[in-house]
Amino acid sequence: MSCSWHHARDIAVVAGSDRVAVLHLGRLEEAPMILTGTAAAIWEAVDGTGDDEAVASRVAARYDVEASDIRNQVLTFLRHLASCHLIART
Amino acid sequence: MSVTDCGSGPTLHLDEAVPLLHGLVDEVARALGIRLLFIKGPVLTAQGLRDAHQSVDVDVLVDPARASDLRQGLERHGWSVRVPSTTARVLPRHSTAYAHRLWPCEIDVHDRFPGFLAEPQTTFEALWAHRTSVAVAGRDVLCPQPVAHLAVAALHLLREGTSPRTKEQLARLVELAEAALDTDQRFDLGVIAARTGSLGTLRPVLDALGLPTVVTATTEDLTDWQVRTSSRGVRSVGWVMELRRTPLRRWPETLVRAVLLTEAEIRDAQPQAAPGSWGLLRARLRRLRLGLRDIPRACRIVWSAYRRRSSDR
Repeated sequence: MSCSWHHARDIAVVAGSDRVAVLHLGRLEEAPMILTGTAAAIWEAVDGTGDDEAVASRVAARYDVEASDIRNQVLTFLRHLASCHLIART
Repeated sequence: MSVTDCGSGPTLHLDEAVPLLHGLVDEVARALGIRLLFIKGPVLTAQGLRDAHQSVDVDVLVDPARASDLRQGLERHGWSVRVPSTTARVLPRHSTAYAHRLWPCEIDVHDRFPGFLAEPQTTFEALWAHRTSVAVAGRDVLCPQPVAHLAVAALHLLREGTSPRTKEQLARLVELAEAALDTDQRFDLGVIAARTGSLGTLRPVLDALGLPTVVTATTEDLTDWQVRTSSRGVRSVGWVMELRRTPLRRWPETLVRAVLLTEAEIRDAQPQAAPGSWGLLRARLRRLRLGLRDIPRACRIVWSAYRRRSSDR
């Protein structure tokens, strides 16, 4: 069963148009992560309600492409964000 | 589509760094159980007491009893004092600026705020008693309630004296305060001013808001404040005040410090100075020339302020 993705609780976030800056409050020695373009779109598609497929579909709709065409890249990036403790599965 | 637009490549913008740093400082303080209030900047804007404009640093007022703990906490996370200051000041040093190689702006840690003439701990407790929270970068951070924050913002402007620009900014602050605060809240400003020893320093704002003020005796602290607010742009006034406070036998040591200052401070004040010892020497001589030129004016300002105080007694 695939679980929904949500943003981590211990973060500070500044979201602008097409750009997001995220600071993990458990890793204060590190620089904030800056997400732009498609990376920012994936971040914004994570809203606590959607699983892998839902996030990929949202991003695909935003860029007007088939979800199957970008699915692997979106999932890879979701795993990367999870490994940085910026998102987690519900 | 490729997901490559992330990580350490893009530069952190100032309008991202300032809110994120609120989260960072808040986290450091929470972890250590330190009370602090965010002042000025985005929280003041969120409270309707400042027009939106980009802050260039993050200001916090920390519980004076725990200020050194906060400083150590920041240092553990790679923050350091940008330029240790040895220069003389009219008013006691009120803050220390911390910088970090990964961040484009500084954290200004205040353990007191100029113009609040009560003891720093008394002032902090009064402001802490009037605290609230504002969401910044998705986190709720603590800050003074609007009326208490008005006092901070007003003193920040009043410290700079009575230039046309300052008067204009002060008038705008009063205008925003009239819109943001009801009559009862405005009345609280007088209460806060009394508790924090700022009835005299905040008088222009209390008067502008139509609040009753009482005439307070001109204390030494208030005289120092008057010297500070009437000496904007006058070099040497801090050193004239320091000499005034220093026993005659220690004047030589103070004068040597005044003439030399540290290289870091000289270069911070004159970033255009050429590198190397020759560039440093020229920068020192330039500072000395400008400082000597201002000494008569600095002496007049200090002398007038203390003469007024004597006649007020």
